[in-house]
Amino acid sequence: MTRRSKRKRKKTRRILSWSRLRWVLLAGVLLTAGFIAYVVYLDYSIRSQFEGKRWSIPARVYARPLELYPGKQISADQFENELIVLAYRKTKKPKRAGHYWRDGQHFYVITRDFIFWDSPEASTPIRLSIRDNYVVTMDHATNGEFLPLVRMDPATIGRIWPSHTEDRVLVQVDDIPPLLTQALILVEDRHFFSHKGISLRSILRAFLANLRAGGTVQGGSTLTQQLVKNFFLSNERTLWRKFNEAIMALLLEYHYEKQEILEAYINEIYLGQDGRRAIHGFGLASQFYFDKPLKNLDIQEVALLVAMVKGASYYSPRRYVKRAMDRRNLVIEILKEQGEISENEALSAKASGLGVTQRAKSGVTSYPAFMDLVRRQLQRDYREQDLNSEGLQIFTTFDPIVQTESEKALIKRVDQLGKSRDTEASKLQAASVVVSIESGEVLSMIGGRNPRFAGFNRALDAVRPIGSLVKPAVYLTALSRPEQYTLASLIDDSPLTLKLENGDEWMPENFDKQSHGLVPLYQALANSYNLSTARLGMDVGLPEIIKTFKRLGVEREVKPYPSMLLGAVALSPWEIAQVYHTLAAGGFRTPLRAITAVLTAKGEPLQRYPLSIQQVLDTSPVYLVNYAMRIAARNGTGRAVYNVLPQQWVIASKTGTSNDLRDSWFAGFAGDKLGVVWLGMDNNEPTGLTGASGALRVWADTFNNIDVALSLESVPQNIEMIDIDALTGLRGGFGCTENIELPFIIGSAPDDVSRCSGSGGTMKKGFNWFKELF
Amino acid sequence: MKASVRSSNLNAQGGLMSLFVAVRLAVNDIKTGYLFLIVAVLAGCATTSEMPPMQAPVITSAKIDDAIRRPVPVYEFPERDAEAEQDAGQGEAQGIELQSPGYSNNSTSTSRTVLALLDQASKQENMGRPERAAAALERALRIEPKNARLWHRLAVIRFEQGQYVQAESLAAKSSALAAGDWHLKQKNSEIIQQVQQRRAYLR
Repeated sequence: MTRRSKRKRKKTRRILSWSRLRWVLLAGVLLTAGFIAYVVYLDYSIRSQFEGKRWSIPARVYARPLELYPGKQISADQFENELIVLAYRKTKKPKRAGHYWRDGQHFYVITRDFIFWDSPEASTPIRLSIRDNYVVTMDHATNGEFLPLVRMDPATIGRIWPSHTEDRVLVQVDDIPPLLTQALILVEDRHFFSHKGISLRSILRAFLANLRAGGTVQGGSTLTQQLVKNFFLSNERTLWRKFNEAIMALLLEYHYEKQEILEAYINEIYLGQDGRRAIHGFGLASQFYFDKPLKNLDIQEVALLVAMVKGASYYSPRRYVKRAMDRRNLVIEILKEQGEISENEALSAKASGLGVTQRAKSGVTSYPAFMDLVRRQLQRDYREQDLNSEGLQIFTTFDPIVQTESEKALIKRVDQLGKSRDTEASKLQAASVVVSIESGEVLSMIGGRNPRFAGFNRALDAVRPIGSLVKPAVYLTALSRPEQYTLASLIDDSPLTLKLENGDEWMPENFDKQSHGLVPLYQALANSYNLSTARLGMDVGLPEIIKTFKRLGVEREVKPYPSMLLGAVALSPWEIAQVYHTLAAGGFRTPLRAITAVLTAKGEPLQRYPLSIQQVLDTSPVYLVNYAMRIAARNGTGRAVYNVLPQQWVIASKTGTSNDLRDSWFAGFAGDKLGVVWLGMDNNEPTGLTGASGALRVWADTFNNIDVALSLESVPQNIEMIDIDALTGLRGGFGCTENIELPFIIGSAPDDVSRCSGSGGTMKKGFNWFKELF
Repeated sequence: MKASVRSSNLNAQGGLMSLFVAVRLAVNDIKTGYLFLIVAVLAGCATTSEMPPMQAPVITSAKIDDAIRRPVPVYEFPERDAEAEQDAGQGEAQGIELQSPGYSNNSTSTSRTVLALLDQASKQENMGRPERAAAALERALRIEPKNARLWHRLAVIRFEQGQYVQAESLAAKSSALAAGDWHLKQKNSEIIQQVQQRRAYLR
């Protein structure tokens, strides 16, 4: 109030005394001040909501993208499964990205575009044929050009959750289908682009409509008001609340552009509930109801989401199909009336079913063990809060096909094994890891017999005695001294007594309780003899073996006790995978990776995790050990793998069994993949399973169903193959029947030739021809 | 070509190793069968009719020898310009189609795939983005993990980036897979030597 008006009042209304006026004035000033303070408070809270909420998005974790190229090994069913996982829509006439058609072994797919770390991948229409589990042709569907390589968009395998239970898939203006914006405006707020936050026209219209209908049928809230309402989720419908909403709507409009408000609205609006998880925003709702990205939705799908804005639970398409259908068709009708879609489009949209996926994908990740690994690897470089709020995009090495096959094999075998033994079936636990050999990428991980259960991750955390899995390290140490040991060296498998650190005496035994006398070194490893291994280990020295172990990638401290020679060392399946990976890769160590790159929410490259290798061991002795492990798979402890797998596969493997059959291990590699399987009980009770009767079965079933890209191996330069008489460890001579061809580091093979034809004994190689003369 | 089994191995009688190799080659059907095809096509031999692509060929050790001794130009390496590469790729594809219509072969087609990635890597490198080039090479390695030339290329990139330790290991890896490709091994040795010289210099 101005002075002039006060004076005016004084003149006209004398009755009002000065003192009274003063009180009124003071009250007025206080009220105004209070109101201003209140508005400032509202302004603060709405702005912090707007700014804060906009960017609180959990990191999204992707599987490896499927690379398609002629020669790629994949079955038609596996490929279609991948398309289904990626929510491609099967339709006879694929028209846009994300559609496909399958006719037997032939596919027509329009891939989606996607931004990867190294380059963007454009949407491509492809025709592809699969024969005998291989992609045999792949051409551009419209111009018929040969396509050497197409990268599919990657499947989302999970999100890194913040502690609270909201989830979101950030959608930016460019990703919003124009039809969605139009539909929202037409259905919810026709004057969105002209009003200042509240629309008197709309309120009046709603008031009249409600009066006519005799109840609330229309809301007069603008999109801005609805957004405000969503920020402070509460369902009370009081005038005071409306008043607050209106003020905050005006404030929002004052501070932000229409586009920003629209973007926030699309990312914020409540569209359903998944257990404890609230579904906010169209991006997540699109995934939640249709299992595909927002920009790939069809007309009727956009219409359904817009229909649900009015009341996500009332119009739930999963619970109230009829209700949701009616309102969706109403939205389609409005779109048609306003000329957003054609008559025909409206007709076909209305004729379509709701198209929501059968079961809501649970917010709980389907691959908890692998996600656990991703989270741990990320935590080295990122803060927890960045992971669950910045909307980072995490690209991983996860291979859904390998994971699926591993799970199938593990579940089936663990059930069988559990039942057929004395053990309580439910207690037998399991873990498995599969990695690619040359790149050291983790393809799959299972942390327990129920792969969906996010509990104790045994693949990473079950640290258990590794039994005979330790042996290759012992033999590798020996074979690194070619002047002293070769695969053909005879080693002593007779009983021995070892003095332990504490003064006790220890007499190791073979699994079959027999001693085998003098055996060639390769046989001692292939048959996993304990006595000869213990003797060999003591001979080469425990500290040397521990050194080898470290080089192979064990970071945990290993004590130089003689009992380590027979596997008293405890490691996790993950650590075993690292050790055997170094062997499989020929002595080149690669820290096993689950993550290849991290991008920001907007697709800007943030960080890459490149392939890095380090040569830690000479390739030749590693080749020799691997060769002995091949014999183990062919004729030794691992031979049961060939009951399942084709004879022509070259498999190197090692079984492991801990004392009293508490742990059943198997580590093996073939082609370009390495797998490690562990079975055991959480309470460390005996399982009744050896490595061969337990873990091996799971491994073999797994490898039987995944692509292992068998190829010819490369033999190190200084390796020569020589025929050896298995009985004497000497060169196989005339008449020897137990010959085996073994690799030797050049110059290390025995000089003597075994004489098998006569009365036995040996002769010098040089005299061989001479003797033959007589 | 990845094979590096010496002839002496293959001539040995009854040896387990030669048995492995023969059996593996014989039944590792498609790939090997086609390798032979390519060898045959490129070398102008008339043996192709004996080995229909769809069935496991009966392979005597003499034939294996033949395939292994001869360096198989599955594709030429990338240091050439992109155009020449493309020509080479197309030539092979035509050759294959003549032999086995409608069924493309792993080795050749994959090579074209890898060629496309190598091309991409070169472009990224030329644009001064070595890390993206490395990413493209890693993609190629996922497809042909035992391709010694890819490992060599990666070694070169790391060397140029100054990541000498990586370059050294990658070059060693390349050589470990290079089998009889002496030229490539030579180039790898040069990288390793240079790294070691630098190391000595730094000390």
